[in-house]
Amino acid sequence: MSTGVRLGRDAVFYLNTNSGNFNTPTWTAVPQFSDLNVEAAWDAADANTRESRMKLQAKTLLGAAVSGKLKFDLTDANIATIMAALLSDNVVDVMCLNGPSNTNGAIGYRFEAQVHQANEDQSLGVAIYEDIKFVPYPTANAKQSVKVTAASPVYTAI
Amino acid sequence: MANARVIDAADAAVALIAAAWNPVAPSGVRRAYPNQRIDLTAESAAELLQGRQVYVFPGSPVTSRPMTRGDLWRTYVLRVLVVERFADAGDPPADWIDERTAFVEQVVFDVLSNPDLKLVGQLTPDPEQDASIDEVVAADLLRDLKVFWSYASVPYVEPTDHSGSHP
Repeated sequence: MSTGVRLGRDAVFYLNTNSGNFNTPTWTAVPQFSDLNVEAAWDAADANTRESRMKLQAKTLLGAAVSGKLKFDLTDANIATIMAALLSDNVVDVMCLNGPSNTNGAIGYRFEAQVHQANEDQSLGVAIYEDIKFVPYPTANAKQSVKVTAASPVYTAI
Repeated sequence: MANARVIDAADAAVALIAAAWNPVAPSGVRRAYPNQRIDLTAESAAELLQGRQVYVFPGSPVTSRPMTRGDLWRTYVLRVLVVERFADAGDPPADWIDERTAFVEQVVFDVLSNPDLKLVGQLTPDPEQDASIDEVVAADLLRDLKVFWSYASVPYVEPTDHSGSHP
C-alpha cells in the first residue's frame, strides 16, 4: 500500500525574479495564492483506419495553463508584476510545482506566459482575490516539465 | 508574554465605548471575565448594581483558517453586557427602558459593528458573520429585579501569518 499524501496547500507558485534570465532563474515563491490549478491535457488527432474498428488517437498538442486565486496586494512587488502583465503584453517566467522546489519528487511545469485573466469578485462579504490565469506564450525558450531532484528543479523540454 | 489578541480587541472596545459614552462614576465600562458567581436577587442587586455598567468579554470561539499559502484568516468574538438597575420605587417605565435600549444600539452596537472600524491593527468586523444584539432586554430580570440586562456579540476578523503575527 502506498503511503503518504501530498496536500494541495503544499503546492507552490514561483515567479522568476531574475528578469530576462531564463537559464539562471531566481525562483521567488508567491505565497499569496489561495487556490491553485494546473491544467495539463493533450489535444488528440484521429488516427483511424480500416485495420481496426477501435477508435485510435494520437496526442498532438499539450494545453497547459496555471490558474489561481491571488490575494490582491499592490504593495507586493511580485503581485504588481503579475497585475502589470495583465494589462500589457508582458511575459512572465513562471513555475508551478506540487511541492516546494527543494522537495525531491515534486513535479510541475515551467514556461514563459502572458496573463490572460484576472477576474475580481467584489461582493460585499469577500476579501478581494484576483482569479488569475497564466497561458504559455511563444518565445525562444523551451516550455518545460519540472521534477525536483537532489533538492533542485530539473527541467525537461516539452 | 503579550496578551491574547482577543484581549487586545476587548481593551480597544472598552476605549471606544468609553470615548462614545463618557461615563460618570459609578457608571463605567471595563473588560471582564465571567469569573464570579453572583446570586442576583432583589437585595443583592441594589448593592451590586450601581449606575450603568458595561462589561466587554472576550468571547468564543477564536478560529483560524488558511487565507493564502502565506496567510491565515483569524476570527474573534467580543461579547458586551450592559446592565443597570432601576433604583426608584415602582416598575421601570417604558421611557427609562427605551433610553437604555437606545444606548445599547447606538453607543455599543453601532460603534463596535461599524464595517469601517479598524478596532486594533487590521482587526475589523467580520463581513461573513452577523453582529447581533442577542438579548435586547431580558424580560425576566426587568420584571423580577427591575434590572435592565442587554447583551450583544460582535465578530471580528484579521489576516495573520502562519505564526499568528498580525500586521
